[in-house]
Amino acid sequence: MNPGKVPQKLLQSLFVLIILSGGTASSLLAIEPKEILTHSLEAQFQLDFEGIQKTESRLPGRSYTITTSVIRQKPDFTYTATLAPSRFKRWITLDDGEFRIWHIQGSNEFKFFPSANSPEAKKIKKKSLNLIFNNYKLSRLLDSYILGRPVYVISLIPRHPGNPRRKVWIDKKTYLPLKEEDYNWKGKLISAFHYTKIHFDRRFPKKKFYRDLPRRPLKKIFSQKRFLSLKDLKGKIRFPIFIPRYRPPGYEFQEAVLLAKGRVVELTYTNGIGVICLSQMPSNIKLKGYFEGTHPLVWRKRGRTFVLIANIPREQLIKIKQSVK
Amino acid sequence: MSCKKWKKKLSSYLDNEVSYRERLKIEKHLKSCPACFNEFKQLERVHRLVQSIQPEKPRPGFYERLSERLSQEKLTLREKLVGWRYSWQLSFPRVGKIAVAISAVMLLSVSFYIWRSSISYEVNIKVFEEEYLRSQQMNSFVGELALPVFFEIK
Amino acid sequence: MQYSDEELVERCGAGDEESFRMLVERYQDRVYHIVYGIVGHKGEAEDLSQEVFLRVYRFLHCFKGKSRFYTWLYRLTVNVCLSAKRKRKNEPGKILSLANPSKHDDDPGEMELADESLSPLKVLQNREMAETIKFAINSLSEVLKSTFVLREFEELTYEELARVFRCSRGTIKSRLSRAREQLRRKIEPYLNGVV
Repeated sequence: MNPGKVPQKLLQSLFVLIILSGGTASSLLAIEPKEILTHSLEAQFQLDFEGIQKTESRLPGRSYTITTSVIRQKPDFTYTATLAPSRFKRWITLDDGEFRIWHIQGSNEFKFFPSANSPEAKKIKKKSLNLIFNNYKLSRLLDSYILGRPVYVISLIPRHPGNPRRKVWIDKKTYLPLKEEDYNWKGKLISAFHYTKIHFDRRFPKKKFYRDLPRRPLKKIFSQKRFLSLKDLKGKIRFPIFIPRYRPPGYEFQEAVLLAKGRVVELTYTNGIGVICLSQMPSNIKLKGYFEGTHPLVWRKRGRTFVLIANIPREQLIKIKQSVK
Repeated sequence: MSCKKWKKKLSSYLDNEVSYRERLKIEKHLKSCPACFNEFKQLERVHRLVQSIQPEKPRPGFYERLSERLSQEKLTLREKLVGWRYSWQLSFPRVGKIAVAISAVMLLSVSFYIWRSSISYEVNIKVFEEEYLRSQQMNSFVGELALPVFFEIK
Repeated sequence: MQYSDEELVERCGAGDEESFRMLVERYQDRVYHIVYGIVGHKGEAEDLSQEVFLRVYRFLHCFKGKSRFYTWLYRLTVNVCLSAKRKRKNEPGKILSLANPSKHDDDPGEMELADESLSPLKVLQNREMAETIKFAINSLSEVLKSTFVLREFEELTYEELARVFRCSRGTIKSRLSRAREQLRRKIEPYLNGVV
């Protein structure tokens, strides 16, 4: 070999290598999973779209697959109608940024919930996202396609074992999550969601959706604010609340909710993805019905009944139970 | 289907209480049957006439008059109680009165206790599961996760 | 602050008179209109409407919240009207109808039709139609009349009506169908412009 050519060939291959690595590095460096998820939080509020989604929810012992049609209109309007299974068929929800109204079409059943599009709800989601950044390792997997659209694929693995993990597929153009899967620490699917159809830039006159709702003047029936902080709670109830002193690492208080006309206090803790719910009520309240599949811990202490629901290892549940004071 | 059967459905159709399929069938029939169409038009006319009736209002001061009647009722009730006490004071011997008083108090306290403990509230377990699922949903990245809750509606 | 019916009921249960007042004021016009539609006489309508709210006050603790408040209220209203009619049936001399407005009224028992921007002839015709339709409604049987009145004046759905009258939806359907058929027949000559 000509001695002069060796360094040239070497230089060439080095050059190619640098370009390639630089190229791939730049395409990965171009956007971080953290950024993608942060954009994604705002995405739904900046889009008009119509789509059909399938949600699968797995409780040990029962699983549901629900098909819903969804319509979102800027900035904070959502309308959903359940298409399947047939026993949920005429369930609709309408969210106008202030309240989320749930209604069974053709009946007089309707319930009010706080809006999931309100600034308050957004704050909570943001808080959860920050928790995720602390408690999860984010990594970008190979890009893919959903419904013909290029998507980022992000995996979230918990830093502390015993917690659920998540995989999410996010549309590159709009940052809307198009598919999501959650698995518990054993690797079993907890919930899955994906769009089977989606059309962007569809506008609808919002009035048309209000027509489906009962013509009775819609009185805002609920007077209790959800998303209560512990401080709010103390002001609303007259009996002392028992709080778990031990929380699995990464879990923080999310909200308190009053159920059953203020007789039951429920505290929710989250690590960003997983959720722990501790409910407490005076012991003279009878529990009727049966658990569909969550296998909670139920116990009595000092005249109160506790119910603890979470998808975490049993020892953790027991530790929490023992720490409730 | 004979016109008689179609005509029976016209009232529900007018009230918009027929299924979507039924409605289409009825509309189709109305287009082709002048007799039924005519009858439907008459039903509509009746409906419009009734709707155009001005709602009647009570004379002003309705609540005030009601309030008066209410307080009169309360008064007669009180009078009844007072009258009972008065006649009771007159008719019973002393010892008897004390005995009656004591047993009345005992009876009241027992029944109060029974009433208190019988007020047991019931909470359906589904409430807890629903809340758990709802909290889980809050943490999804997806805005509109469908909820498999409200399994059975009363 | 806008309270829901159910919230007001709870507050009344706790002894808040102001909430009871708000509840009455919210529904007094509607109850009165329904009662008048069923009994057809102003003085009696006032009397019976008061009776309705007296019963609301007396029996509020019986309202368990299993249905909407207005369902319970309208059921009370219908019962008050029907039992009043039953009582009157036993005193034949006191039967009053729209066709013979009583001298006990303060104002003439007329229900004006809404459109007033018409020629005098039209107004006269409308007034005749008003009388005619009122008379026709009044001639319905008590049960048909009360179902019809609640449907037309309050626009309750068949389901709600079934709850008020404690019967099946099919019964409501047939009642309304019969009521409308009877009214249609009574009004038919006028509709064809014969009169």
